[in-house]
Amino acid sequence: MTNEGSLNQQLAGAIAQALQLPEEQVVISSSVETLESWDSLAHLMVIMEVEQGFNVQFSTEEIPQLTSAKKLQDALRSRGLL
Amino acid sequence: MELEQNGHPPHERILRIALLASSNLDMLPPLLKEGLAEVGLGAEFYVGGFGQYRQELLKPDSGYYAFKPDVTLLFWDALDIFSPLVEKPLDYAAGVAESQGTVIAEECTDLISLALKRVPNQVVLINDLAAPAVTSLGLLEGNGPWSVSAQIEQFNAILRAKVKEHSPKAALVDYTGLVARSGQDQWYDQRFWYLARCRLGRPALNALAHLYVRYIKATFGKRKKVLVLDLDNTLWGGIVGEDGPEGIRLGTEGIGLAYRDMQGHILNLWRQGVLLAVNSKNNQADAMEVLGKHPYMVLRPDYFSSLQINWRDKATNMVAIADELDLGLDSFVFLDDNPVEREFIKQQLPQVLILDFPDDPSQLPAMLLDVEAFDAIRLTQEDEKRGEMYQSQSKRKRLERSAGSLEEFYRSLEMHASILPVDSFSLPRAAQMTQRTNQFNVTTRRYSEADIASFISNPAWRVYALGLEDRFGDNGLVALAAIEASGDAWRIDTFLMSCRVLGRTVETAFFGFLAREARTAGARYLQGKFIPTTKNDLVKDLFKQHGFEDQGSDHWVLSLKERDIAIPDWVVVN
Repeated sequence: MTNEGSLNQQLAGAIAQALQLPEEQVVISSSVETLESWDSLAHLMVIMEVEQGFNVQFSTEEIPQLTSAKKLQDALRSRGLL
Repeated sequence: MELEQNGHPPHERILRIALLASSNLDMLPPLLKEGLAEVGLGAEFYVGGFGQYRQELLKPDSGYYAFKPDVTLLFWDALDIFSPLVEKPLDYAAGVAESQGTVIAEECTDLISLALKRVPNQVVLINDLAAPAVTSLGLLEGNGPWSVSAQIEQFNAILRAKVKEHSPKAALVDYTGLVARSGQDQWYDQRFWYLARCRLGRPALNALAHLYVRYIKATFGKRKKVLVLDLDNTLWGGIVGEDGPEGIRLGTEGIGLAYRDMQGHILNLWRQGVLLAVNSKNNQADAMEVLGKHPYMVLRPDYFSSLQINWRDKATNMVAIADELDLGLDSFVFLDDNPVEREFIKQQLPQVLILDFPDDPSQLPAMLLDVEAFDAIRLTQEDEKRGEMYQSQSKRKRLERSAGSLEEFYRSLEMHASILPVDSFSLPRAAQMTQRTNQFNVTTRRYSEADIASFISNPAWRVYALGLEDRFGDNGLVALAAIEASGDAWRIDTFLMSCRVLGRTVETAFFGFLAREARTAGARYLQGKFIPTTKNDLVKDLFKQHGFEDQGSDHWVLSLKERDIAIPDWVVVN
């Protein structure tokens, strides 16, 4: 279980993998605003990586909204995956 | 361009790869980079703006030409380059629609020629088009005045001919096959299309990257050269030494046909220049009878460049094959049904590539077709002849040394033997073992269930069955000993073991157990007898190897006072 303030490690790993960053650079406050490499192309990589890792499919409408580690974590939580 | 020939180790090569795509494939390079690294190739990428492959290839000062690629991946999808036709087919007059395949193909193949003219020292990989399974024509597809699929077939035919003209500078990537395998509903992900003009979902991107890596490796990497094969339960079903040549599964019906089909696929590899060799624990005469005379055998002895059929360990045989062919073990691929043998080779000779073996032999032919180690995108004349060349040059060197540490291997197996008196539950299997075991069987006495039942009710007799578990799972009951106590001696009436667990010192553990039991029961001697048959040559020295003394005429004795048989400490006996 992860508590509200911390980022699930598997999720951090997926985001880091997609952005090709060391895992420790991805934290709960990471987002398209804080990480330079998280651009619009990388955003698709992040979505694909998370979908593959958690065996989940986000809807077309929510994909553009999931622009931070926190939002991704909440989306996975709301599906009971975390 | 073969790295092998110009002498650079593959991992030192950094390939410059340009990707020009008809829709967004910007997510592909990281996946390609990862896949190429696994086969020892480095990569730098240039990714053209998607849908802009025409501009990139037509403009002499484009970013593409400035990059000077070693490899160009020219990716197009029918949904992109045939999009007006696919989306609004009824806007076309029949005559115009029917010429689209040719018109688009000529435009595209001109671009390929241009790329190769301007960057001659490169390889261009171009995919064929997968015709959309669903078009706006609905059921009119194929029934109306014209067909989308027919135009795409026309495109593919022209493309194929043009690529062939440019070979080996150009090669065709079998995109149709890749998409068909996955199915178009899985292949395309509409979400990413509407969000980012990327047609493929993540599984499709993974599969496409993997396919490109295969083509790039076939061009710049090192191809394996030798396929080393086990025999029993690999090239045919069953064990020839136990079932006899008539009893093995190999034929035109049932599962026997799967083995025959697989042999056909292996023969195809041989025709592509792959060398074949046998590495089998078997009586040579039994195996050669099948290879030479079995009516449904596809792979005859002449197809094999080396035949190592004996009772030595398989790593030793593998080294013997390498010596004989004068090739490195890193060009070897090994196929064997036995997970223990695969693990043994993996530990002793890590350079050898080991193929997974399917649980169900019906999967064998398909599995063989999926072996990527022998990927080639063209055949040289030498390739075509190579199989025969090595066969005649085979040197038949003698092997003197054994490879690796056996003890380490035994330990890694984590063997647990459970030896128990035969009871009503194990009785059927005990009788079956006496009926079936031909090779590792010192007396080859056949007993019915009733026979064994009478032994176990007789206080002078003891019948033990050995069950073996190892890290790969439970092998079940694999060995049997029947003992008759008379006076101060234990007479070994039957001692047999399944060849499944051969070469793992299980028999020594069993002997050690018997010696201990005999001593506990107050016996002073263990007596053994060897009755030779045409099949049990394997155990003619078994008693000698365990310290028994020769009493003449195949009688052996071990004095329990003077000698002991140690249970190897890598076999836990309980």
